[in-house]
Amino acid sequence: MSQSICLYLHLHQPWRLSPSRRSAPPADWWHGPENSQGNEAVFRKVAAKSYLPTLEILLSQLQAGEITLTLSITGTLLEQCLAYPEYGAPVLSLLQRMVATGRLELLAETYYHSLSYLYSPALFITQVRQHVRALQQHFGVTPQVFRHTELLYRDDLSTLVRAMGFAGIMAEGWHTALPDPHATRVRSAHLVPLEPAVQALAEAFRREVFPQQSVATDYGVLTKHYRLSDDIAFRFSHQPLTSEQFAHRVQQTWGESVNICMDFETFGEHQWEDTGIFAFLQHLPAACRAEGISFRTATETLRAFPRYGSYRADDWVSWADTERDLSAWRDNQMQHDALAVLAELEQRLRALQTARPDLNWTPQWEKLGRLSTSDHVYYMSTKYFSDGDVHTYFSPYKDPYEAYVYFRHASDGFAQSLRAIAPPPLPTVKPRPLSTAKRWIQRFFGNDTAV
Amino acid sequence: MPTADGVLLLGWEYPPEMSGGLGVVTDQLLRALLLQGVPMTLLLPDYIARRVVLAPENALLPLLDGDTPPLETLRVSTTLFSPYLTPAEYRHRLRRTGSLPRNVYGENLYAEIDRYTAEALTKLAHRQFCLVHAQDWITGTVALEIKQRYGTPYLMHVHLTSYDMHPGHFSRSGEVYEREYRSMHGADRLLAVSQYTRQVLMDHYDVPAEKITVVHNAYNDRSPEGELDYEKVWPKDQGQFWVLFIGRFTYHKGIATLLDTAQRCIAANPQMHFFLAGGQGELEDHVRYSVSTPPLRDNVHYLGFINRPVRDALYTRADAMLIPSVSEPFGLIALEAVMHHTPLVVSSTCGATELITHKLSADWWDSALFAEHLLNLAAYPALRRTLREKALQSLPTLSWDTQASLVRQLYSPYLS
Repeated sequence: MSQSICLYLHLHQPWRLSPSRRSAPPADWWHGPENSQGNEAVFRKVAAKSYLPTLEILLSQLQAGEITLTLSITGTLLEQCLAYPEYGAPVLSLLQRMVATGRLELLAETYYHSLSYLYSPALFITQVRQHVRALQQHFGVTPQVFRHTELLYRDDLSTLVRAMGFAGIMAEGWHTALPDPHATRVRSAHLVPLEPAVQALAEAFRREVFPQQSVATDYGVLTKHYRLSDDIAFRFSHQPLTSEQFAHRVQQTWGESVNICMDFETFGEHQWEDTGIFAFLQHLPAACRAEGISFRTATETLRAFPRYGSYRADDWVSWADTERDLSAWRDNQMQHDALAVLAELEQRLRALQTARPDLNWTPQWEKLGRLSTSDHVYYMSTKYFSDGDVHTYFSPYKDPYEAYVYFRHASDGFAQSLRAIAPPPLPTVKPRPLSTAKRWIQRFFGNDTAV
Repeated sequence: MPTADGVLLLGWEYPPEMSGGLGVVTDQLLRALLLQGVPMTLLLPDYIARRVVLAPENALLPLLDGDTPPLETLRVSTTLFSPYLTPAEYRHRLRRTGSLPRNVYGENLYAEIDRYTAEALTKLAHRQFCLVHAQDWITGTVALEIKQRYGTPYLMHVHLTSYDMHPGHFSRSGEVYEREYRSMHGADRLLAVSQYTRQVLMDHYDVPAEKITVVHNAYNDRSPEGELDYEKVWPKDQGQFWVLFIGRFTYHKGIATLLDTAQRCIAANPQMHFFLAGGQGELEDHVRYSVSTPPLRDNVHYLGFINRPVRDALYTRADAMLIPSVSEPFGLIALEAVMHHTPLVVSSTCGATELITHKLSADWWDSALFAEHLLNLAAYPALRRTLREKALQSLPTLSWDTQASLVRQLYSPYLS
């Protein structure tokens, strides 16, 4: 019999890249495709269908004290809220009012919803810092719990997050990865040694962001209950579910905390209004109260329950697809290449910054950050494309090849702009030995003979 | 009334020799049908003006591999040179052939087809078949005549229409179009080689959708043939990017787009090289002229006709295959390219690409986009590698055996 529910929703919109030709770069890289998949068009659509109505419901429930809620909001979404104020301003103000109730917890993650940890822990820490600062700026709170993009989890990541001063982490609870079948337990992490350089960066981060705190001794891992989460996120439209049934299922689930994790867009966008998803959300608090289940935020859950063994993940676990691994982002050659390009650009930018500290590198870091958003490599996935089922393939582009080409055009353009700012030193060329004939000519006619 | 003899297939040549794709398809399909126990008889033109050694009439022709049942062939002498003649071509060829006995050729193409039909009908006078399987419009005319005379139902297999040959200036008029139209509407069923061709038949020939069945051509999973030392025959410098084109130099193969694409690519990247291989066509001279003058001269290589092992070698050496066809009912070379791990850049009006998910495509006239695709392939090795790998992985396995069973299913109501 579970005791509490941790409802955690994730808000994110990527900066989709504009289509481009090699010879003709687009005027604005971040406009997105010209059709209904353009960034502004998507934002408007999702805000109207999902963000605004859902946030209204959640705000009233928070204000009435019926629920507590955990959210993660990416930096790119906040940027879009500011860039498209017609819909963005109300979204942002609703979020701020929700935080003001004191019943909403925000989680930390990489600002750009990236996979930077895979190729550069230094970039990863930079992006987390940027996200924490953004949350402090917009909402006046410092997040205590971390979630990685797509709930990716592995031991070394968890160890790093702990060293950075966070109290816990949200992770995918896929049954084969867990030591026992209960995703409802709060676990400790399986710690592994970190590289000294990474450790030092993590220490610096902790001293800056959490100056009062030491490394959490009771650092905990919350795992997603994928079956109950997917009941809403994927199966709601074809297997109708009432709030009462759902609350009953939660109540019947053995363990301590049922962590319901999903995309925020589930409400109104993945599951449309006519499925009854909003009515479901509206009745959820009352149904849970009737079953005697309380709501807890991530931090409250971590505080309320003891650690039960440790979650050991030698390999990556994620909440994506049926494989629950990295294969949606790092499978084919194009994806490997794109991640390698990002790593290379980051190194080059860091070297340039070290060489020319007098210049302002912020715009360059922002460009690199937007390119590092995981959605770009996700669009390059050929996993579902090969089934011919293009409709389930979630991408603004025609095919994965288009996605890769636009990404490479953008990254090439970026690399070129770096070269323009600070040209690389000319390679020192050793003089080539002259041909015998030229040597003879030089000997007899002197050096300056035009030959 | 003698007993019925199974299916009469109206073919073009046997064994396949000159008529390219159609000959191979006929050969493979026939073989698979015979192995499945369908009684088949083959009616062939006897090319009197060609020095091609072909099996004699009425001999029970044993097919090359031992376990196929022997096949009965009937031959009708004719001056029809290829299944896709235009009246002008016919006249031209006839003039080049020189003097022929008066009774074995018609003075123009249509007269010759009618003469061929009449002779075929006398050959078949004492025979009775359950079904006639015609291929394209010339044999379609024969089949229509057989149906009118003896009441034998027929099935028309469409490999190429006159729309495909002149899509840019296609008009619903002229003798060829009328004969095509008549034989398609007279047919009991139509077989199209792709969904694309099915659409052409519906849009331009008013054939009702329910009358058409799509049976894709199959292909043999062949590994590269021959003992060629590719490195020596085709030396390739580091950094060069090779684009391959194989096809006849005719309008419907998209020659204009091909040349324009080459020009754009070479201007942007002098490391791009184009290899043009293929047979005759009305634009052959134009192509030869274009590639012998700057700016194409140094980077476009005209190879002319190349045989099988050389072709395999080129597939293996090339970095991309370009097929800018204006209208291509099937296009076996697209599948061959994929099977040789060659990335495919292809126009969206190519039937075989229905089977290939992983390709780069553009509209046939969009040479800017074709050039863009090729330049991207040249710039990004990861793009090439992914295309090579995934295209082959996702290719459905189509064998002549399974395709022949589909054809047999169409036969079955008539055979019983």
